[in-house]
Amino acid sequence: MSVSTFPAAQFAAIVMYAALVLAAIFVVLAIAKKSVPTWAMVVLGVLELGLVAVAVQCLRTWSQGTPPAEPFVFVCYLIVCLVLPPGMIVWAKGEPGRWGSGAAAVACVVLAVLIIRVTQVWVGGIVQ
Amino acid sequence: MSDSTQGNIVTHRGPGRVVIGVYAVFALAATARALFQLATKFSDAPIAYSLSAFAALIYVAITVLLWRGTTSSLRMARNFIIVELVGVIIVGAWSFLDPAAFPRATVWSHFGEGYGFIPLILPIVGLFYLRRTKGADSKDPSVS
Repeated sequence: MSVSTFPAAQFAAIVMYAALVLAAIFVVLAIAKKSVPTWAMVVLGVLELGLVAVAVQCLRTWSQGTPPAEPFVFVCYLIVCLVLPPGMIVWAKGEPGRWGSGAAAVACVVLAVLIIRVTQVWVGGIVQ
Repeated sequence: MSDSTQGNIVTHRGPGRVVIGVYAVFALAATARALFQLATKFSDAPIAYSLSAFAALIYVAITVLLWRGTTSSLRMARNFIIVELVGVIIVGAWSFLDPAAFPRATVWSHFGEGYGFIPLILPIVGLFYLRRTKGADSKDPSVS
């Protein structure tokens, strides 16, 4: 199995950092006892679009004959990545007040980690 | 005595929302990982993969029990969290002392290093949360 670089690596990194920044913002909101604001949901929507773009790029590369190193795990992680932001909105919005923002912060960190894992699983070798 | 509120503690509100959220993520991640490992390459690392499956079951159980939020389910959740904590510590130490037994990683090897040590922190947070929730629950009657 040859090692291939992750498609749209830079773009995925941007989405990952955006998720981390958003996590920090949610932490601040939680400390300030603020609920999840509407604009944060818009940002999450943009983030989701970014994830879809990464997913499309990956699947296109795959269809052109360069599969991920761990196809099954890759698809699992990718699905969870894509489902997480909408799920996060429902989960965090259902709880007004600081703990909704706290839950969103955690979810954003998880998202960032998942994006890293997605890229690792594509390249392979690191999964031990 | 005066307040007999069903015995249901609403754990999916307030800080419980964060705790349950994290447990749900770990339940999902660990289950998916364990199923994959057991189905495809169990013989590579039987101990590690069995422990992965065990961890997955623990996480699923804790998530469900916390979500139900009855007095008895929370007591059971507490027991499972203690098992989780002991598991992380034992597997963590074991994986350092005898790396040969762990040719592949589990959720808990190296104290959950691969998961940002969250597997080690999570049970501690969980126990704190349950203690606090219980404390808040019994506060009202104790005023007398």
